[in-house]
Amino acid sequence: MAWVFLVLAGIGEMTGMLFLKLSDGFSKVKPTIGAITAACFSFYFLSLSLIHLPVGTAYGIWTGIGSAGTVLIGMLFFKESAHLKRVFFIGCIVAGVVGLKFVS
Amino acid sequence: MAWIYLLIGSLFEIGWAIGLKMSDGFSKPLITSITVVLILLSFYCFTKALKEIDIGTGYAIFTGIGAAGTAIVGMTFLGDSANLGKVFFIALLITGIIGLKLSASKGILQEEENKGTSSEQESEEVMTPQEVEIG
Repeated sequence: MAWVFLVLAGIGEMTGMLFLKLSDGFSKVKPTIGAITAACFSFYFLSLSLIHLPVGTAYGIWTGIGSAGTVLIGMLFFKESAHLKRVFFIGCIVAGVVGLKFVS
Repeated sequence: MAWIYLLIGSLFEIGWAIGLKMSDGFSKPLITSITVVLILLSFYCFTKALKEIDIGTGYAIFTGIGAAGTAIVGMTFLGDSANLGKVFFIALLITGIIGLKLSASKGILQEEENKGTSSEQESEEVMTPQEVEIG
């Protein structure tokens, strides 16, 4: 069950990032409310998963889902670069974050 | 300035990641309060940074510093085991963070792809394939 909570937390994180970018530095009301709601959802489920999982494991998977998802959101919704170099370094970070889980 | 905000936000993130674990599912009021304050500070800085930095880049760097930092704090202060694998992935994270930062800075400078400032040279060494630059 802890893993289900963790996946929900990761999805909440992606959604939160989408709204956070749309909120333009918390200056637009609706996206700001959306971002806060998604963040609360995400943290709540992350916290639940942490009762049974080590912090490194939970954090790794959570941010792995969140960062890979956020990169896709950036490319799909905000036309951010899909340049190979950028994808490579983001890949290093995602692999590093998730990899830390497997050795923790 | 956006990058300074991103860095400060990332440091707060290390704090709340540790706090989240210590709060036992938000059941300890004091640690929970500190954690919530750190989360707010962290995201305030992060949102400021996102006004200028791409969300994919910003988030990857933000969590990368958070993950590397949390692992380092865990190994140093919380008695988590330290091993070669952890060190490898932390090194990979740092490579990704620095490389992404350098290529993002280059992007701000109107993608002067083949000019090659000293900072670009560094990122190319990590990256290697030359055709990426040309193509």
